[in-house]
This record gives sequence, structure tokens and C-alpha cells, in this order.
Amino acid sequence: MKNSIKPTGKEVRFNDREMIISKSDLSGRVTYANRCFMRVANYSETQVLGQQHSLIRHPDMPRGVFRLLWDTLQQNREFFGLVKNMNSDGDFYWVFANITPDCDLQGNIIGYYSVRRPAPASAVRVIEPVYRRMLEIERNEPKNEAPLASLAYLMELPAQEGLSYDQFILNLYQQGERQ
Amino acid sequence: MSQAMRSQTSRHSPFLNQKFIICCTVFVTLNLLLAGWQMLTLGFSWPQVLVPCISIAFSLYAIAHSKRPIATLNQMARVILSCREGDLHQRITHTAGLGEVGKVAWELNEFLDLVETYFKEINTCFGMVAERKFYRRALSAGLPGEFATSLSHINQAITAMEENTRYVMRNRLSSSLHALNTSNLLTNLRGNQNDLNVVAAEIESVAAIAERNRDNAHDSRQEVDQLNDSLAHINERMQSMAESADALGNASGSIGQALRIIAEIAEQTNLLALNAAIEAARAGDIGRGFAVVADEVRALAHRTKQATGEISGIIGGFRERVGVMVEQTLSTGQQSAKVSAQVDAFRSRFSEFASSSQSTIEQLSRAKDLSFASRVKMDHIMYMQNAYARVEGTDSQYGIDEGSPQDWYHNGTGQALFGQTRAYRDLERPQSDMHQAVAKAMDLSAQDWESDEQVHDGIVNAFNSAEGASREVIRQIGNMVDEKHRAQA
Repeated sequence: MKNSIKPTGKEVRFNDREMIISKSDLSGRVTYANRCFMRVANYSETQVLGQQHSLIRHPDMPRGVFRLLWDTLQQNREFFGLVKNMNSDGDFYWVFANITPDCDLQGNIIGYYSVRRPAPASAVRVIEPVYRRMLEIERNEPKNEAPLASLAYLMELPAQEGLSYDQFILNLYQQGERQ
Repeated sequence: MSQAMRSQTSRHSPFLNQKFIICCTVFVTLNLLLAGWQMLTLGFSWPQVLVPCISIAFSLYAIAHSKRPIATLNQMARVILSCREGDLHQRITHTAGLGEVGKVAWELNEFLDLVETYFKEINTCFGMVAERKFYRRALSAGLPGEFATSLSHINQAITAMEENTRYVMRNRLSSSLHALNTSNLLTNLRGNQNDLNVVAAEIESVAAIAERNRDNAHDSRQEVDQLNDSLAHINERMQSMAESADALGNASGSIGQALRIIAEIAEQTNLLALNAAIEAARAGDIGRGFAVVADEVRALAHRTKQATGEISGIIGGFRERVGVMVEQTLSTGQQSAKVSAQVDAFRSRFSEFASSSQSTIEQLSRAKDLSFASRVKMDHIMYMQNAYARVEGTDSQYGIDEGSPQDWYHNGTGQALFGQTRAYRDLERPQSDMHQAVAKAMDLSAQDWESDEQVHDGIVNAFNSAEGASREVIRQIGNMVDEKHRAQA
């Protein structure tokens, strides 16, 4: 289904009072999506449940970002990221994603919980060229080394400002939010 | 779930699906009864068979159809139950086409989304705060009403915690440095205190030397005075000896003169005797006897002249010797005068030496008092430092009363040294004030100053007044030394 969708370059938006929320199991299969998710991604519940989260992945997203996402979650830490998603019509929407591990009462990770808020335009302006450059890097690297190579480039940005990646992304989000 | 669902109030009333099955069963049974009764009274007809069959089929369909919403309701019950047990992860899925039940399920899902997001935010933020990372603030965007308000309050709390952590860190650094400083300060002060004790002992021994010097100089001056007296005595004697010799010389001169007169008399006697002899020769025999007398007189005159010549020679030698003696006496007198002058110089030097020894002793006594006062001041500083260290719990190796600054005041040392000064008497009040203030701080420090602000302020105030009193004590100690030495000067 996803391979057949062509990006249209059209943007869909959701408002500040909304959050796209979904849950997935440990392998990344969707176990719950809220109505905002279904409306923006334009999928029905049955189309989404049981599918990989990559269902809504936009081809403009470098794989390095998802590598960072999984590495972070494996360490039982929350992940922040500016992510460009694609709905069933091929339209894109930028989100500021916060993904946290779901733990049961014994503390075992049983899945992941993802909250996406609208990404501020100013943050998108900063990150878009970074992702383009990461894609370029990935195209020039062997397939299994590409994500690490582009991730190394991504990590240079916060390091230049003496920040952690989380601080960098949160700053981008909060500066945009204030505008 | 059924265990929990069957509370005391609902134990006797059946569940919806049971009610529904009962209704369907009653409905079908009534239909069957009606059809059976009609068949018995009116005889067989197809509708009497068909209608019950259709109603059975319809009931079965209805029961089957009611299973999904009922199952969804049960699922909702399970979800709410696990929420009650603290597990917010469950959601209700596959609710399409369930109408009102589906709508309620979605509302429950999205309510849980809000609750879970809220708690995730709080947990993550505080987890980061526990790691001392304060940049992660709760994200309230997308959360409505009370949720967002609560998160923004939490963000305020995190800001306060961040400030507090900074404050605590700063405090910890300054208190670590302070503790380090205090313990070193105490060690250094202890070293200074020892130095001052050594200085006092040195001054003491130098003062003893100076006193010995002064006494020796006094003794020497007295001896020189005696020597001087003896010399003066010798001089006097020399003087009178010279005068005697002079008189002797003069006397021998008079003797010479007398001798010359005697010699002249002898000469004239000789001439007379000669004349008498001539006259006697002219008188012949009558004069013979006279001539003998005249000869005898001439012989006498001759012997007299001889004798005067001899005496004159002796007197001459005598005078010569007297002259030498006078000369020697004079030069001895001169030398003794020279010695006398030198002894005088000695004498004034010994006097100077004695008076400089005396002023050395006076200065040393001032220096001794100053060093004593310094030590007392040092004791004071150490006392205050010990008090601080005790309250802060940074130093327990020295007791608070060790080298108590009041010891000198009450054990007679101070009374002996400064008892006559006004400042010494004025010290009593600030000393006891300071002692009381420190004792008060000690008492308060045993209380819960870490959480009770009043106790905390009490300690600070007590130390403040202890410092004020201590300053006064130190000022009065200075005055005490000045006053004593002004009085002596």
C-alpha cells in the first residue's frame, strides 16, 4: 500500500490544541491510534492497527533520524524529533514528535507511546536543509552504514553549540512555540 | 473483572447481557406460549409456527449482535480497572460501527491519552530533574484546561528547583571552601599563637638580659665613682707633696743664705782674729796669750767656713733633689689628672649605658604587653572560629573552651599586668556579652536550624552580637596596653 503512494507536496495541518497520539508494540507495529491520527493520516482504524509505523514515513526523512530514535528508545529514554510524515493521499505534515517507552507496572518495556504536536515553521526551516544533507550523505554511503553516517552529521549541529541533541531540538521547538 | 464488578450494590441485579437474554427468552417464551395456546384453541395454522420461529431467529440475531457492544463495554471496564490499578497504557480498539458505545469508547481513549501524556510529561521531567537536567520542561501544548495549568505549575516548580539546586551548589561550594578555610585558619592561628608564646618568652629573656646589664652598669658606675674618688685623693696628696717640696726648696734656700751670712761672719772673724794676732804681736808678751786666743779664733773661723762650705754643698745637692722631686710630683699629678678625665668618661658612659638599658627595659615591657595582648586577641579570634566551626559541624577536634579567652582575665595574669587600667575593668561587660551570645548560638544550633527559619536567624543574630562584643573586647585590649604605657611614660 505505502509503496504505491506518491508524495504530492501538499501540506496538511492540524491545530495547536490537538495531538496525534499512537501506541506501538516493541517491533513498531501500531496498536492504537487516536482520531486525530486517523484524520490527519487519512487512514481508518482497521488500516492502521497492526501496521508498521513506517506506513506514514515520508521519503524526505533520512534513515539516520530513525536510527537515533531506536537507539534512544533502546536506552529507555524519550526521543524528540522533528519528523515529516506522509498521509494516505501522499500529502505531508510536519510534527514535533515525542516518543517514550511504555513500561508495565514491573518496569518492563511493553511498547512505545508517541505524541506528535504541530512542528513550528521556524523549526522546520532549520531542520529541512539538515535532513536534505543527511539524505545526500545516505545516498553516497553503503546502505548499512548510511544511517550512522548521516546521524553523525546530525549530531554535529548541537555539538557546535555545546548542547545535547535533546536540548537542541527542544530549543528549536520552544523558540518556534513562542513566536 | 467480574470479581470487581460484582460489588455489594450490584450483586443482586443481573448484567445487561443477562437482562437482554432474559428479555429475549421471555419474549420467545411468550410467543411460543401464545402460539401453543392458539393452536390448542383455534387449531394449527402456519403463522402460528412461523412467527415463533422468526422470533427465535430474531432473538438469536439480537443476542449475537448485542455481544460486540457488550464486549466493548467489558473491554472499557477492563481498561478503567487497569487505570484504577495505575496502568494507563490500555486503550479500546475496533469500535467502528458501535454507535454510542463506540463514541464513549473514543472519549475514554482520548481522555486516557490526555492523562497518559500528562503523566509521561511529569515522569520524564522529574526523571531528568533527578539527573539534574533542568532543560526538559513539561510540554503543555495540546493539553486542555487543568492539565495544561498543572503542567505550567510544574514547570514553575522545576524552575524553582533549578534555582534551588544552583543555590545549594553555590552554598555547598562556599561552605566547603569555608570549612577548608576555617580548619586551615585554626591551624594557622594555632601556629601564630605558639609563635606569640615563643616571642613572649624571648622578650622575657631579653628583658632579663637588659635588667642584668642595667644593674651591672649601675655597679660599674659606683666602682668608677670610687676609683675617681681615690684618684682625686691621690691628686690632692700629690699637690700637697709638691707644695711641701716647694717649701723645702725655699727653706733650703734660706739655709744657704744663713750659711752665707755665717761664712761672711767667719771671714770677718778670721780678719778680726788676724788683726788681733797682729795687735797681740805688737803688745809682746802681754799679748802672747791673746795671740793664742786670736789663733784659736782664726782656727774656729776657718773651721766654720769649712763647715759652711760643706753644708752649702749638701744643701745644694738637697735642693737639686727637691727640684727633681717637685718635677716628678708635678708630672705624676698631670698623669693622674689625665686618668681622672678618662675615668670621668667611663663614668658618663656607664651612666648612658644604664639609662639606655633602662629604656630598653621599658620598651621591652611594652613589647611584652603588646605581645600578650596579641595573644589574647588571637585567643579571641580562635574562640570565635571554634564557635563557628562547632555550629557548622566542620570542626570537632578542638573544644569550644580550649584556650578560653577569659582565662587570662580571671586567673590573675591580667589583673597583675593591667589591673590598674580603666580599660581592664571595662573589658568585663563585652567579654561576658560575647560569651553569652556564643552560648546562645550553641544552644540554638542543637535545635532544628536546617528547617526552622527562626532558629536559623537566631543563630545568625547571636553570632552577630558575639562579633560585635568581640570587636569591643579587642578594642579594649588595645586600649588597655596603650593606657598602661601612657601612664608609665
